Amino acid sequence: MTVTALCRFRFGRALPVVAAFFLLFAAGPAHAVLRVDITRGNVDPLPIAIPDFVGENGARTNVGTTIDIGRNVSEVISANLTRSGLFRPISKKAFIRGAEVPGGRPNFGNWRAIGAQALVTGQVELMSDGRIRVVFRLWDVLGESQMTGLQYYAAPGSWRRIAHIISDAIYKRLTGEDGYFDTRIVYIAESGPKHKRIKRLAIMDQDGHNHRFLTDGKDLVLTPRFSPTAQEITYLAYYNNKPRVYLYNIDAGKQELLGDFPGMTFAPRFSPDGNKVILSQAERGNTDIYVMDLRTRRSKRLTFDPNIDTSPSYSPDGRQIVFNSDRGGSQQLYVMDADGGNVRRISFGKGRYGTPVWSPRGDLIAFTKQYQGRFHIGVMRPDGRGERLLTESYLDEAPTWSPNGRVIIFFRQEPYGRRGSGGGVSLWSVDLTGYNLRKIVTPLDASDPAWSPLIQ
Amino acid sequence: MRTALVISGIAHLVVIVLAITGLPWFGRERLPDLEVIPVELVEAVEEQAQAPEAEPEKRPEPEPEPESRPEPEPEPEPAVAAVPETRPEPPRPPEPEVAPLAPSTPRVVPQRRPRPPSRFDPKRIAALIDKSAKEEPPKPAPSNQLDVSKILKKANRSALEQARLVADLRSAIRSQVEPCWSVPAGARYAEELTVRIRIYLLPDGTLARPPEVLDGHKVNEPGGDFFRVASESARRAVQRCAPLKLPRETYDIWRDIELTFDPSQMLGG
Repeated sequence: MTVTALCRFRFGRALPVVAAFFLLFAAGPAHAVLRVDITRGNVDPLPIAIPDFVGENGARTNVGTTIDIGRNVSEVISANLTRSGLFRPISKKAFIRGAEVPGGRPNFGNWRAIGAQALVTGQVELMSDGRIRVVFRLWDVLGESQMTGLQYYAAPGSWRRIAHIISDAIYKRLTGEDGYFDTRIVYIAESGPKHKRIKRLAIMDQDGHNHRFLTDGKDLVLTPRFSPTAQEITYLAYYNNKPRVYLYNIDAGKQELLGDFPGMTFAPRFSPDGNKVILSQAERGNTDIYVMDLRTRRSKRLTFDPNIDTSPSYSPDGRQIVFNSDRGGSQQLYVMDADGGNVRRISFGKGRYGTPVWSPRGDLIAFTKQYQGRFHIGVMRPDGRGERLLTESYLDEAPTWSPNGRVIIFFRQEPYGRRGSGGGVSLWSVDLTGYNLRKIVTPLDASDPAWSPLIQ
Repeated sequence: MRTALVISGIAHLVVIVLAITGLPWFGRERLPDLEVIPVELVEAVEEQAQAPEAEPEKRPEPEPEPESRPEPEPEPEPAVAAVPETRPEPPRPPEPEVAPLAPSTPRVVPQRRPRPPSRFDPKRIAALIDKSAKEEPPKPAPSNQLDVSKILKKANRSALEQARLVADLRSAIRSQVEPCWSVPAGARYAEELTVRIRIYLLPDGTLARPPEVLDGHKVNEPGGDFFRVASESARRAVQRCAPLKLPRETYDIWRDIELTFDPSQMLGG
């Protein structure tokens, strides 16, 4: 009896709990969360509206009124973002009047109506000390909130750089990656007939502006490479018909010979800390890789193979070096430790692999591949897996990475015609994904590009 | 003892009967697990979902809005960066342009309206009328409520029908959200950036409140910038697609949705 009583008692107490339990389950289906997986989307560029930055009519500077500067800044930003392939600036003709509110909260409905998902607004003001103040804000049109906002003070003549820096800030906020617009490209400008080619070292902003020649074309120059500090370039020059590796200081405009090696030196490249230059040296028919310390000017041999080892490139942490070698019978890619030890082959595909370049973000190695008479620019992981070919043509060569490791610039040569015509070389850029292949217009033929890091 | 035997016998009988009758039942119930998604529905909704995209030519007349002067921006500038003074600029040689080879990215260009027919040329009018007649047959707007409403009409929907209903809803949601989602491609390890978004809908398919990013703490972890970009792209997809067009009769099922945006199939490999 006592047991039954206890049971009843317990059941009686538990009844509300049990009832609640059942109720929970009964109510469950009505309020259950519907789970849906979204596994497909589009990779279309993000529609972004960039109205002219607002200026004042009477505010004159030596490069025009602040209205002119505002319009120019917005145009440079728009061109930068378009070229990246990740953004689609909306035509200003589509803008709805009244949507632009200088200095205030935008009328988001009007921007949403034209399909904009992001909006860039800005102002240019002339300060009493002659400088300009450029303010910009990036807005999330759908979320109706500010994503970032910055202001810059500078001399009016620096408006183009400000536009690049703002482009970088927008790119960074919307992609998570650092931008690459405030950078320069050094390359070899070529002119003259095929057998008497004049090659000059040239430098320009990444968008082709501020172009200038660094050498006069008397001596042949090849393979320029940027220092990580962006102030120096290393390259190969034939001076008195002797090929040597030189250093060029951009700001000082001076060049100097890098060491005196007994043989021919070529394919130089800086270490990530800028303190060393790694290069190839050919002596008595054998080519090996050497590294030179720029502070002590002492060099050290890293490979001792009887075959051709060349095109070395450091990993961004400076611990490893990728290079190409024909030690296995055909030209393939190899990785070794920075001291020359632990050499292992990473490319095993058909064809010849050359000019490997380690990405600044470390995840990929770009290379040139020659297969069945065609050239490709491709990428693979440092362990050799995941090979992807991004381009194909008669001749694609010399890949160089944007500082954020998203874009590759290379040069492409057209085939020669029957009468010796053609053969022109030009610079091209391609996105890491293989999309967005674009030609970079230069005043003369162009080859051997090298991309600078972000300007400090 | 005898009672136990009887109970055991009955239990065995039940098991045997279940085994015989249950097999075909299980077989049928497994169907929805295969996610048989009606493809034609997916296609139909996709077109519709893209319709509300930017149509500049439809923009309202430029009526001068009584624009109240906005108050000074309440948000303070988060960062102040000074650009270095002008560096000694070298003399500028001819400036080259970087021009895309491909035609510049598609822009939203207002389309030109057909010219008004000339009053003095009746033949031309006729030609224009004919042309417009050819061009204009209005396409019936594809409806995404077809299958679902039929199923709903049947009283007491079975488990199978319920499962199919849910599958149809999933595919309807998917087909509306996917075209709106701009995948953040090319970011480092983009294929690993899976984002979960919780949305609460009103019966008309509009968002009851802003979409909620689950696992929001990942923004503060290493690589958080990429997670933030990925979660924003997912949130934008939902906001761009809202209101979702879903059958009101099944509101109970879709009022509360968790969307998992997983780019691995697109970007992996």
